[in-house]
Amino acid sequence: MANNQSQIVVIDDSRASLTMCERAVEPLTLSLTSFESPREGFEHLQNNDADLIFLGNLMRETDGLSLLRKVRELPRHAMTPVIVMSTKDYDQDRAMARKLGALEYLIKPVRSQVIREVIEKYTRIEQP
Amino acid sequence: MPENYLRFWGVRGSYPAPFASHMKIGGNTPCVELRLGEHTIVFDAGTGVIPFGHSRVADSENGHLSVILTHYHWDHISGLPFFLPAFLPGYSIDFYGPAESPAELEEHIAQQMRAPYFPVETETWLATIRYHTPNYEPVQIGPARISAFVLHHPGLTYGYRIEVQDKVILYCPDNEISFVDQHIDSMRDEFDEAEHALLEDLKEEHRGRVTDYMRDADILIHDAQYTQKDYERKRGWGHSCYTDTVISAIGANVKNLFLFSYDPNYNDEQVDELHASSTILVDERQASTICHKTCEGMIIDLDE
Repeated sequence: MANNQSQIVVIDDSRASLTMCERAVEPLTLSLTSFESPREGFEHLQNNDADLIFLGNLMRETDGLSLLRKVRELPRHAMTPVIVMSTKDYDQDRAMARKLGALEYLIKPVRSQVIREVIEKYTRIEQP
Repeated sequence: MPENYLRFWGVRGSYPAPFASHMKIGGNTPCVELRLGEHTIVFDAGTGVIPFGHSRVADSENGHLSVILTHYHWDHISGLPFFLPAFLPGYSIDFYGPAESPAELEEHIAQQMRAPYFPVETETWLATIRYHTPNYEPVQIGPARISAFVLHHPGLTYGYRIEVQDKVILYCPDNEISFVDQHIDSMRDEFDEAEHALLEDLKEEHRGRVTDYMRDADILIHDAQYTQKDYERKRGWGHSCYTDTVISAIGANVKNLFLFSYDPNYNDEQVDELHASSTILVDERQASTICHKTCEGMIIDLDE
């Protein structure tokens, strides 16, 4: 890590979802890097560690679960906690996400408090 | 028969509907043939693929077919155990569908043909079978360039964009258009005032995404499973109310909308009413979109 702050990565082609995440973490001391392009987000993950990754699901270029598969194939992210955020509220998608190792499957819109609670749960960051 | 055409072999969603009251529309589940000269591409392999296969073999006991699947719910693959060309050594068949690997695609297809569910396994298929998982990379089949995108339906479900002969054809048999809008509205009170603008942005993004993939399509074959009354009870099941489909198609400037994936409970008269209401919606909005009712056997000449 370049510094001691926890590194959170968010990949979602929904600008509104990214903004919700960015606003949610404002009270927290951490580094959040967001990507609207799944391709650019994946390239970032190829070269950088992360303490927690949020992935959108219904994207134009790809779907979040296919992206999660690719992320898991990166040795540095084989065990990185991943949260999927989706507009698809279906058991079949939840089960697929779990099978691929996602720790949570959150249905959009996700409240700021829930985003902060998830970060607190899976990193060592505590809410102020 | 035209040289280049679309033909509907199955237009029902969910399960077959072989009822006398449904026969003008037809009771088979999704299967649409795209014929482009010597190339034949079949979209989905619901029970409609069975009469397609028999018809094809009656014409010739050998040939090549491409079968492109949107997902693996039964109504989209349940014709394959009875798909005659797969059992003939003179055929070669390329399967495409959403999966991590060709082996996973093969497994998705094979599972329904194992004991105790079926007596004959895919291992008995005599045709030359190949499996492909291009995911989101475009595929060229003859003159057609075909690319996948994600639809709002349980599990990984693709829609397909087919570019051929200066035309854009979209195949979206199972897709719930308005779930996101309604879900966000139902959660509105859980968000503070400052976040309400973001909720509107989220809704707008979703609507934009839907109209983006439909935009300017010459032919849109789209889920129109439910009436408004039924959709109220079946919201979240992964299918659209026909009004959402029609309004989205108008917004995306679609030229020809083909209503598809009708609820199997709807008889011919009910589908006629659904189509008539769709046409009224178009007229009320003074839109140029032409709304068509699909039925088994319907052929669209792509050269017209």
